[in-house]
Amino acid sequence: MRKKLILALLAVSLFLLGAKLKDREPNFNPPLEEVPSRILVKLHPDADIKGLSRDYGIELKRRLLLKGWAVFKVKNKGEVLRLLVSDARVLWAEPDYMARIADEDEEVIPNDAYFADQWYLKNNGGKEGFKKGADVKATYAWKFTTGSEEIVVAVVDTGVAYNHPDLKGKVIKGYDFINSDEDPRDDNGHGTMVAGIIGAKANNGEGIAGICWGCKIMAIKSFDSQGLGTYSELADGIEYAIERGARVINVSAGGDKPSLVLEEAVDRAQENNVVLVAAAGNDAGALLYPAAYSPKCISVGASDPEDKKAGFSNFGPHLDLVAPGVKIISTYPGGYAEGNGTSFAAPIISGAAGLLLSLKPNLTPEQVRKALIYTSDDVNGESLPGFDYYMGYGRANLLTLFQPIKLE
Amino acid sequence: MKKGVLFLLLSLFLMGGEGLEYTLIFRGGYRSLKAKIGEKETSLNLSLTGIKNSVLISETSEFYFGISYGKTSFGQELTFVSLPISISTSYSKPNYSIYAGAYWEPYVFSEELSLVLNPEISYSLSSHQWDVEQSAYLTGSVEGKVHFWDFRLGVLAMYEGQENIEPYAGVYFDYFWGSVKFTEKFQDLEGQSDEKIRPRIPVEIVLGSNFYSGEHLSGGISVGFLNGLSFHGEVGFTF
Repeated sequence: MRKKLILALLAVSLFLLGAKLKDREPNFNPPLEEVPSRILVKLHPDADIKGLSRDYGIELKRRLLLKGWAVFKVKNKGEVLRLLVSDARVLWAEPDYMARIADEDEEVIPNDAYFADQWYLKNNGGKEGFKKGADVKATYAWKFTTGSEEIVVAVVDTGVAYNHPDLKGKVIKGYDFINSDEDPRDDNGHGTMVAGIIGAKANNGEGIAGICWGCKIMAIKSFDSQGLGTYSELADGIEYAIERGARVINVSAGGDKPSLVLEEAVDRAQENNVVLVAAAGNDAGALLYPAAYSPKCISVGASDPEDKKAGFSNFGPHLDLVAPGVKIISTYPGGYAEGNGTSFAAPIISGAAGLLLSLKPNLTPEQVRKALIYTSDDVNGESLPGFDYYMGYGRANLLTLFQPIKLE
Repeated sequence: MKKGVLFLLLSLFLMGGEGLEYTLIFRGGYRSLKAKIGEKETSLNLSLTGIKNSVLISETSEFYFGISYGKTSFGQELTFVSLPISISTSYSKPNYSIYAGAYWEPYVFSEELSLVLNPEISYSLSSHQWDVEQSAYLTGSVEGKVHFWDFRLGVLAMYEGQENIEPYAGVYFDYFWGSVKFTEKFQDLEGQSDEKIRPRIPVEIVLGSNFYSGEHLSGGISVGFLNGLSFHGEVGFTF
């Protein structure tokens, strides 16, 4: 045990709820392209519809206003279509394809294998304990930006598995303050999960989608394989990220005690136009430091898939907002894992800050913080309207954050 | 409007010097200029109605200035993303313009045909404030300001062979510069965007004609194109 201030650190973070490697088959469901059990048929002018229906076991649903065309309900669509095209009573037959309006709420749905499990980005509900729409609506934000390579998000954590297939090529190797070398490899898993949530590759057909998938990740190791570190190592990690040009620093860690060195590191970030995002902690108690230094940083609590405060999430007057922090799937050394904790809520906000700065690089940290909190959804507003100690200003909403306000 | 009346009285006072012939002109028109606002290519549309005072200084030179009221709008809805909270608007709000210029005939080709130079400078200003109530916390206001200077130098060939009609054709060098500024304030979140207005094609081809009916009544129409589309009409009373 080191004779240093031991951070309640990533104990903070996490109960890496079964940090088991996932070896599941992808279960990504692409959007429907055809209406199931329905076909469109152009009939010969003399065709006997009743006879046709009887012969193929199909049911007339309605005739189109367009002359000669009709919609039929079928059971074996592929087979029936194949037979119909050679029937003399039929001029043409085709599936009834899906169409959609090209409205402003159009989303970007990446094709990553586990995207359907990333409920925190888009929650379709449909499962017990999951409420549709209880998410940060990242798919809408991606219509505006998926992140810029110019924006570097530093992960001051246990390091990052920078050779992970979903992170490879995106990670800038920073420094390892635990082993005093330049190889910030992750020997715990926590930092890799945080990095994946922020910026895993997306639309590559595998794994997960990071929020700011176009951004770069800077890996800085300030915590050891047990998830323990010190204020001095954390402060050094923050200062290193500032000096190396990071625009966002994610600290999914903290300690119970206030400290001048930590506060000065947070001040330095703000003075140097760097957004510092910190996890509130998982003790269902007071906010940890540096989160408690908000508004100098952005403090983030956790919500669950029903848009309620996660039971473990710390609270208090300095809590800014919440983001999903339960059953969060992300990259993990050797695969993918699921975890709970404000540790995984904070990188959602870091990713959102990265997206915002990609589109609006001139914003100050204070503007980024206020834009995030004032566009959040007051999800517990019925019982506690407005700001409250438990969910801050509410759950982050990236649609409101990025959708322009129309002025007539 | 009071300002407009005062302006008119002032101009009449200034121009009504003894021995000078001056004309009070009512003018209306529309300009759609191909512009760049920041990096966005659009058209900057201006409708205007106003008064113009013109004074004949000599046989070959005339000075004028005027004011107009109208509407400024963008050709399409533009999004301003550099603000902390993006806004989109086609603007379409009232504007005020002042302008001054001169006609000068430095060269007469013949009794029928002369060369006329027409330098003109104008300034247009439009501002508007919107109250916004977007969501629980996103409440506040957005203030927009569109202003620009426009310097035009026309070289016109004017046919003066007819009694009551004076057709002309020419080219204007037309350069405008200014900015579109938005300031937003949602609670204590403040932000500002300031994007420059520039022309995409600083040249305009103009066709037009002046009309005269007796000594005191005149009129004119003109159409401009290339850098957009513009048309103007005016009726003048000479004293």
